[in-house]
Amino acid sequence: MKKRLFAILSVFVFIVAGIGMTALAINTYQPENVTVAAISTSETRLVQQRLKNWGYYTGNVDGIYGSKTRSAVRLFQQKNGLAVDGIVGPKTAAAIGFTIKSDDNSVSNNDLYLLAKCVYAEARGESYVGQVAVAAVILNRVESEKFPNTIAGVIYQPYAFTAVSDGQINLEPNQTAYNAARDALNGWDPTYGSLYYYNASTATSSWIYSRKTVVTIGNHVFAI
Amino acid sequence: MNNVSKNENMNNNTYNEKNVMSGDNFQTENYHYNRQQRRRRERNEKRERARSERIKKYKSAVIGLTVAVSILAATTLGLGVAYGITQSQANAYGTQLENVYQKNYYELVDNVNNTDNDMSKLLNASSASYQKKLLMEIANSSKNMQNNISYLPVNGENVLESVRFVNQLSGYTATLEDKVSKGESLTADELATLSELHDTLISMKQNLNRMSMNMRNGYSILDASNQMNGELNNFSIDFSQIKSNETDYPTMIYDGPFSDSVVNQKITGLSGSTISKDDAVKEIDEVFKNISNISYEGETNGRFETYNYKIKTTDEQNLYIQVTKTGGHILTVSGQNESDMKNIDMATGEKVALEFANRNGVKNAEVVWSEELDNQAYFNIATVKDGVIIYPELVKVKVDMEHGNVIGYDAITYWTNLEANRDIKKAGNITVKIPDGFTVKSKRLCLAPLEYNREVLCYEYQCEKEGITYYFYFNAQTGVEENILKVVQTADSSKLM
Repeated sequence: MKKRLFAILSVFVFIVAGIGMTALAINTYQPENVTVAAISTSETRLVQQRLKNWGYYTGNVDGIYGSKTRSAVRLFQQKNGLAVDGIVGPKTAAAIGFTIKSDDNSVSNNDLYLLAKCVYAEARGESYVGQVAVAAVILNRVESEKFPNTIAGVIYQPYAFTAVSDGQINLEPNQTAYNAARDALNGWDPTYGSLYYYNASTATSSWIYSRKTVVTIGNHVFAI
Repeated sequence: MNNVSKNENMNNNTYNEKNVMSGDNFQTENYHYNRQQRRRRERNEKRERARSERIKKYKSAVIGLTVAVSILAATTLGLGVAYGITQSQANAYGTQLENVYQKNYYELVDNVNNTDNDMSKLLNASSASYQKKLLMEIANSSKNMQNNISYLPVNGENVLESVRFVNQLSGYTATLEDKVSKGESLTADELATLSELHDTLISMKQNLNRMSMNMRNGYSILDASNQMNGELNNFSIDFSQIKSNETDYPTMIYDGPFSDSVVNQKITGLSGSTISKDDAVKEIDEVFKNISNISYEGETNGRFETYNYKIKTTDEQNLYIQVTKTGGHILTVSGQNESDMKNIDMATGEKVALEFANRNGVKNAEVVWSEELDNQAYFNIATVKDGVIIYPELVKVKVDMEHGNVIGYDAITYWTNLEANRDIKKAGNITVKIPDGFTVKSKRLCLAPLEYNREVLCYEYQCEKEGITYYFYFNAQTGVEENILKVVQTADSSKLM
């Protein structure tokens, strides 16, 4: 009797605590570990390579400014009497032995970055060509009369991409996403002008099925 | 405890009275009495023990319940406070979002109203300069309408037609403005199209005004967008009313941005019979000599019809290849290499790229642009005819600088525009003026693809100023400056703008 009562009480307390924790978790939800690199992918590779040569960094030279790279940079900054913030600014870059290229032409850079982010958020599980195809659809929309006329306009159009609506767009893209975005910006389009894609197993809109299918790549059906 | 002993005393008293009353069989009775008493006492003790235990249990239950209620109260209070805080934050964010929606909605209404006025004036204006001014205003306002609409939380396909209408309105009027500024006048057909566009705009305006009435009665765009009605949210349903059923958006064919004709460009380069899948595999085998595995990946049925394959090379690279059904040409190759190894230089890369293009039927071609990024080199290759570079006939090749293989190829532009018997006009005797401060690095004749599928024979001057490269394009017959491209160096790459 006593034990049962205690058990019921414990379960009750756990449930209440659980609800509380879930509520907190929902309120503070952040998709994975978001890092914002102040330097480009190729510069990140350079930093990783040099810090690896000097014994500060042990990870892969992959151009991704992740937690390993950040802590290596912090260590380097500490040892060299720089402000320890884990960010490669002009002073840290000079100490590592390169100059950060000026931001004067950041317009086109931002396009690549934004496109790579959207590709990574929407299609990181897909093959390389599947990622090029998603980037191509975004660029086809920019050209199309039916959609906004800038890359940002297309990507941030309400309800256009689920990964933008749920915040996955803020994940830091990897090298594959960058390569795919760059190929698409260079004109590659394995979907021949498709304006839509959907996952045939999860798509809920009946309208999307009425579009003419152009090609299926991986989990995505591309349509016009 | 006191209560219990008192009870026992009381019981004993009762027994004593009984003893006095029955005198004869005192011995036996006394014996029985003792046994009974003992039993009773035992029974009573048992009962008492059970009672006291029950009371103990009740006590701990009361304590437990009190603790639980306190925890529950504390948690509820905590959650309540947390909920209150997040709720007020959510309300603040909601208000901000609603304000952005409202701002764009009211700007959209403004832009539609202004454009309505401008179009009424335009249809009755006679001076070219005033027409030009109005056309420019309409082009700008409709561009802004597109911007406003794309901020609003409209889901489903309804928004597509509205965006198409405003984009084409802006593209068409911009094209007419260009025409008027070149001294030409608007034709009767063009005025008729403008009038048709005006009608559509008026119906859009009337429906927007109806919606504005709701807005005055406290309509919240955010709230409506959060309520789903089937596949569409309520705002989308309300907003789609701006296009009433009887309004048809006209099909727009003109040589300008967002024209229906630009989208449906014809393919001129592909000819020959339709090949089989086996032929496609043979073609891939001939071009890629390093295949370790090949698999069929279905077909593409769009502007081009292709068979798709995935191959694995002996260098462990995965490539996706599309082969045209008509003529059996490799149309695209998609792949990448993320390694840091670099074993070949750009000159070797160029050779690899050109040879690959040649094997795919791109003859008499040369590299017109190249760039190396992250150990992948991009080469743009165009055909050359009678010393003229034919830019519309362009393929792009991506070479892996580690293995020296082709890992990317794009011949869509090439096969779209290829013309076997392209008639190239003779260049006239023209004089061009390069602005001061530029050093001319090279000059060559080319067929330049300009906006809206226009191809113009041009002199291309590669010039430099303050370390930045520019390309100037002058019409080789009239000397008119047709285009300027600037090479923009970015942190990652260079880009033609």
